[in-house]
Amino acid sequence: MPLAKGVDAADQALEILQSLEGHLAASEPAEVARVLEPVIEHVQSPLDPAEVHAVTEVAVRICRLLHVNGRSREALVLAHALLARGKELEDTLVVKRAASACGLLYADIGDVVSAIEHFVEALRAAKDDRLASSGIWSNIGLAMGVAANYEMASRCYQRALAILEGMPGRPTARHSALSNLAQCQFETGAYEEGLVSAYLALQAESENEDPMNLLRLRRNLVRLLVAVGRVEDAEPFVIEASILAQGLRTPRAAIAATIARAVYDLARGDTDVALTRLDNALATAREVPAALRETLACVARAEEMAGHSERALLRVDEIMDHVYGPAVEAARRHIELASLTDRSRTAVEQQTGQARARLISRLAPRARPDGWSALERLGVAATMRMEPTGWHGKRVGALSKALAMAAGTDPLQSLEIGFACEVHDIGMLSVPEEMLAKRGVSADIERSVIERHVKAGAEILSDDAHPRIFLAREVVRYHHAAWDGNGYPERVAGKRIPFAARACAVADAYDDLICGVHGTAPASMDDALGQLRAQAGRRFDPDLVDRFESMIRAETDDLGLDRAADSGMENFQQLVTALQEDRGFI
Amino acid sequence: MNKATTMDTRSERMLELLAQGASARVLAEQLGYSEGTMRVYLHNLYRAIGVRNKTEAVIWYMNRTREESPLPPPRAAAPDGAPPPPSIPVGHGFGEMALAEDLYTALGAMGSFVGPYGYLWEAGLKLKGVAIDAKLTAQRAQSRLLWRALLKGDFAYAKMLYDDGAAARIAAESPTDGAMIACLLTLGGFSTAAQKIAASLAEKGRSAAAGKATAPGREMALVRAVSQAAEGNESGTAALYEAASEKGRAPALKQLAMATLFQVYRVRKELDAARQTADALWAEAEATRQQLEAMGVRPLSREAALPPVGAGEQAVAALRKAALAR
Repeated sequence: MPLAKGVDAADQALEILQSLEGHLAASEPAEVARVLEPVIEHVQSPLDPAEVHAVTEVAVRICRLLHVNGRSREALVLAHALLARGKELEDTLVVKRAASACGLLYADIGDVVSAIEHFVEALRAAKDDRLASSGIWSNIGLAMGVAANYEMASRCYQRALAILEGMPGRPTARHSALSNLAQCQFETGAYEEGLVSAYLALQAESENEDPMNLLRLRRNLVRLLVAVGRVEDAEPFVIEASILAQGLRTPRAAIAATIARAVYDLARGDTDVALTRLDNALATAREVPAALRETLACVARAEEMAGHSERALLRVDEIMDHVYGPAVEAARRHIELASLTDRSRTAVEQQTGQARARLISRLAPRARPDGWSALERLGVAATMRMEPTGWHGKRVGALSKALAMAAGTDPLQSLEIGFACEVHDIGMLSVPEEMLAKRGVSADIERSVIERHVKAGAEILSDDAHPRIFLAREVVRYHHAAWDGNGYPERVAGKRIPFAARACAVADAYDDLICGVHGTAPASMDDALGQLRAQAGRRFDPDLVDRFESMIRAETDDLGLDRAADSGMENFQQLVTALQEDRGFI
Repeated sequence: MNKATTMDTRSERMLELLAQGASARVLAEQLGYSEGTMRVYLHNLYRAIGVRNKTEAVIWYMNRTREESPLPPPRAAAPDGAPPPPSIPVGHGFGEMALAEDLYTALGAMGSFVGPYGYLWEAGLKLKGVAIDAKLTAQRAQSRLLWRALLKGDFAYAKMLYDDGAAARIAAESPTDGAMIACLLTLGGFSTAAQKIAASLAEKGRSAAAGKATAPGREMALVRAVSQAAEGNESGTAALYEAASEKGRAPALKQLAMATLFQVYRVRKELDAARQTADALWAEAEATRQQLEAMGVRPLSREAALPPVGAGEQAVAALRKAALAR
């Protein structure tokens, strides 16, 4: 039956994806794309108008499934195809659903401007449909929340609630709007009001609620109850949240349940347990952009409560520079939004600024961590397994320090980054020698070597309060993460990779190229720069590659070194020595 | 009536506290006002003495408390209600003072945040886990003396070192110090001596290229730029300006270029440019202070814990003493 082919294809895809449930979060992007391909093809081909609605229904379900599993980027292709089709057919129902899906997916990957643009389109298509427009307003609120604009988000939710006023039954939209409103009120410090909203949401709960929404509400309740000091009351919600998360088995659910649990543990004084939990949640959140800011904020609070002001400060800085900054920048570039967001933006910025000032006032003068020289030696031992001198780590450290400084990091922080990068390969200690010898033989082996040394290194450096070791751990964990998300751990991409790890990746690759660490012919300094450039935007942060190139050029010019020399090793060694030298500067 | 008492006690006390680095909040606590009221009073005070911000107010106060102050005495609001003439041209607070006196005096305790072997270097050593031994202490003392001479515009100091024969030894030991000597000699018009030191630096560079140590490329470039600028060659000034405004490399070298550029402008009587350069150096010192603070290092404020009301002057004196002792 040719008419139902599109629906069949879509159903089939949904089935495959559902069968992947549990693995979906970890599956390859190409695999997901392959599953979606036939559906997109059918959406693009001329469909019977009667069939369109059925296909839309299934396609939106696919998008939602991918969304909860943190695969929004892949789902966007499908949502866009659907939107184009809807516009072509001038079918408002399809446009409305597709545009909302696009908005939700864009918000999830951190592109707030595109998200709001699509929501506005959906709102236009929804016209008099109160239920739909309420849902869309709720979603706009979510997008605002991604940009940390909680005041604005609150207004969106309140609008969504106002639209629903007087409607019969228990619309799920009311539940989610109330729950989200509670979250915003928590973020802006209005705990009592937040509790009222959260309990109202609890009352509005109905049978057919989306379990993820139930989970979010539990998390919000826990945070609010702890904030007002009613720790005991929070316990049942913590348990409910973890049960819900076990049923859902998505990264998003895991993060929400972990945050609830950790907040509760913290309030009970089990800081170590809470920090370990949050550390895992943070690793997951780096793969789900929309959840990263919230998780970072929670981690910063937890570190502060545990008395680790320096580590809290690192997290606050990460929020300001890498997560919050780009979202605000994107919004600011959008003129319509600039006038809307200005006032509340400063409120949040002020909040973060205050947190920063508070933390700084508590800092003790930083010194070298205990046992650092032992770690340094271990780092040398680890690199000796790959190259005879064992100085690879030292060189990468010097290059990373110079790169961090060139990228505008404070000199002292650059110094710390340099030290942290020295031990980036410390996990190689755990990789059997036979396996290292096989490098380059098969992609599988290479992959397992990377996976193993990264995990082992992070383990060696775990549980230390000193900020340098803390930084080193992040470098170790993410120095094989690629800018486009294809490295390890996969899907941690872009600015969600900690800065120090991004810098280390560039320096590490440069040193490998020049010294031929992996058995390749040593390249000249210029050739190596060219090879880095070729990978900018794929493996490396393109901005950092630019800075690195100009830094190397400036330094070698100053020293009068020939960058094009064939065996550039000697010149390179001189460059590194110059970078390490202390002439009373830093 | 004594000039110093023309100002009411509250303003006096406010300035005293400001000079110790107190914020509006601390001022409010100490003087028993709400923070909002304090801000209004501060604003009025700034207007009364003709400054724009806290930094300028502190400089104004420091200037005034120094006896031989070349600047006109302070005034409370004029009796006829007309706004008082500003004591310092608005917008050039620090630069003006640096011109009237010298960079070293104008920077005061903040001077230790800039230049080679400053607080930043010290904090860096702690992070590296290197203890300051006798050799480093001597090296540091030598560098700081030269840096001080550069800030003060004390060109004769370098000439003295040169005549002693110490200059050549210093240049051989430390390229940065050698560069500072060469800059000072050039600025003081001792061009033959300057060329000799510059040549010995270049010699070290050549031998370094063959051996293991690195060539002091940037220091040499700085010396070249200064000698060209001193001859009135614009490309030299441009190179110096570039070195003073570069971002993301050794901050101490950048600050060295800034101080040199200030002296070049001053010798040439380009006062506006000199003022701006001095302001930039101040900003550099303040930025460094903030960076250190973010690492938990507060070299000034530890000594500057607020004393009880009335002990302000002793505190300022103690602060200065502590800063000098370092």
